[in-house]
Amino acid sequence: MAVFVLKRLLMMALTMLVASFLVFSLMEFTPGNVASKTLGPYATQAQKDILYEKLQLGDPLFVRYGRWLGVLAGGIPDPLQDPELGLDFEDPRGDQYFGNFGYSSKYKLPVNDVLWPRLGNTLILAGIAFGIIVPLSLVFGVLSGMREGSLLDRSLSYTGITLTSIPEFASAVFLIAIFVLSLGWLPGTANMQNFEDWSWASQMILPVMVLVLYDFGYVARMVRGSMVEVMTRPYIRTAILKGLPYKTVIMKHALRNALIAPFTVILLQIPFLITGVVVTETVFSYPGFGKMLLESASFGDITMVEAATLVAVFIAVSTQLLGDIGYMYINPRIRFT
Amino acid sequence: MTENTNEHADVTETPVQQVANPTSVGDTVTSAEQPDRQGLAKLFYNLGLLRESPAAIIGIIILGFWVFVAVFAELLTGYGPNEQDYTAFAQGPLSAGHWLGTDILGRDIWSRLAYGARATLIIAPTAMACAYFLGILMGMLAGYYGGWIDNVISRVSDIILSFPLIILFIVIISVFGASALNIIIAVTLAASPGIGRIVRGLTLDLRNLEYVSAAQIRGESGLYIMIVELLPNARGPLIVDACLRMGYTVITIGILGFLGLGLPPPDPDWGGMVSDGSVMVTVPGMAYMAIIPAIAISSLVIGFNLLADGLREISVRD
Repeated sequence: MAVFVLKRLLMMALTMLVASFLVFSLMEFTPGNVASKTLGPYATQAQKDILYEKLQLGDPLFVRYGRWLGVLAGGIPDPLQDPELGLDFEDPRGDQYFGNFGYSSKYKLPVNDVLWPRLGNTLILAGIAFGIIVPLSLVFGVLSGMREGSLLDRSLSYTGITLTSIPEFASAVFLIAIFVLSLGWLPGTANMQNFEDWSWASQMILPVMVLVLYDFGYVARMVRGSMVEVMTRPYIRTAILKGLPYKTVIMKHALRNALIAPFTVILLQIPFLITGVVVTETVFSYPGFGKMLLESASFGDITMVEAATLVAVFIAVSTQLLGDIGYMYINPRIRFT
Repeated sequence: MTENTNEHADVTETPVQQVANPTSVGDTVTSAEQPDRQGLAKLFYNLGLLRESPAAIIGIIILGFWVFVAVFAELLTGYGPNEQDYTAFAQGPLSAGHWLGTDILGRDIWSRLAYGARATLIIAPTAMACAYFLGILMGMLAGYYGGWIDNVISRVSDIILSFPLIILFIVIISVFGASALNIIIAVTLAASPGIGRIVRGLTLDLRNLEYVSAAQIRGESGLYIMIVELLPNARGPLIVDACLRMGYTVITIGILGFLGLGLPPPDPDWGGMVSDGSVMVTVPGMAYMAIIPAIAISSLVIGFNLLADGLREISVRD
């Protein structure tokens, strides 16, 4: 078990390294671009040349990536904060510390001052959505998988297909048209300001609904599939034939076994939730991680995109690891050596 | 893309397992009941099976509608997709001359929808074809040869699959610019590892069957065995997977368009149309500009997903 976890942790570190190198090399593919992107559109050629020199952008990609890692680990001071450059990039934490993601050229703040609050906002949004998706899809999935082909089963199946077919931006448009335009019950943006006009809760409803609608159908169908499979097993037939009440069969025999497969699926949902979150945050101008990522990518804020990628990949891999460990834990049939 | 490419990889786990019993869907039916069906007759017979699934029929009708619209866009529309009618800005649906109305710039929404369907129905299948080519290649090599080839391919796939795909899309397209080609490259890169994983599983199931050994003893090359012996027998689950992925690719293309990373303006792009319209969605009487293209995208995806569901139902039953 310990060996398995250790192996997975190593694999996880490797994945993050490769992923960050991939994004680094994409973003810094053209070194001249790095200087002009950092300085913004109004910089003169002379300024760009100084920065190019100072950041040693002429070095090979691997060397520059190593330097980026060095800054992140706190081994090297962040070259962009050098007062000689006159960029006015100042981090109150100093220019050399562990976890130094550098300085965001879009937000004119240290990456750490933007990234973590934004991530916090996103976790609130995604957390609420997840807290609704999971119980809702478990209940409906189990109820419809319990009796395959029943009316509930068939209607849930088609509802599920329809819901997962409507992209988040489309369902957001439909919901805004209904609840904002026609009914006037809710605000069309969730920028987490103007709480006197619209309360925090009223701003959260639509973004959460969009996320829930898209993912509910998928997770519920997975739970259903697993439940249907379990219901055909001999031990369920035995339990029914020996005269146990149906409720006991479901609660004691079927449920536990049926929930093993969806467990990993639910944790695998998290990278997809990230996609949904980018779209949803953009639609509702929610000040979260996804909107930040999109804004900084279209601005060309290289340091920010690199930092955000690393964090997002970390979240994705660590939830997958959690999924695997949890899977071993709840499924005694699987033993890793 | 999101996975959803990952997501759909999981949906298709079910068909993968069924292949443990190696005969694929079409073969079972044709060889057991109608041994002499060949070529077109066989195709029609297999298509006929779809009749039994209402979901598949509805899916085919929706898809057929959009394919028809995309192919005959010129004949079905009275205006060019980027043509502005200076006498009719932001006219609602059913207004004179524009049955779905016009957008803020006076462009006919129906005509943009029709040409947008063409763009989507060219980009999505092309991207899928590339992704399947790469994915099948990766999966077959990994599954058939095993060993270090398998290790390298599987590790690389794991890394790409654990990437939140939207980030990959945003980075690739914001660096290399928005164009149809870059959308295709991004989707191919993102989808092929998932396909590869499925194909690898199928290949592992099929690799040790007698007809593969027979071909090996005959001295056939690895390539021949993969293409002639393995691929045709893995096609059943792959067709269902392709339908699901196609739906998801349409969503991905829509998302990219919506985020401003799709086709460069002014060319019609469904996601971009929703995005343009969404600015006006809270203005009374203007919401149609976003709602109409949003319905179009959703209906196309529903079409693919219903067809996939119907195909899966049929393959499970046989």
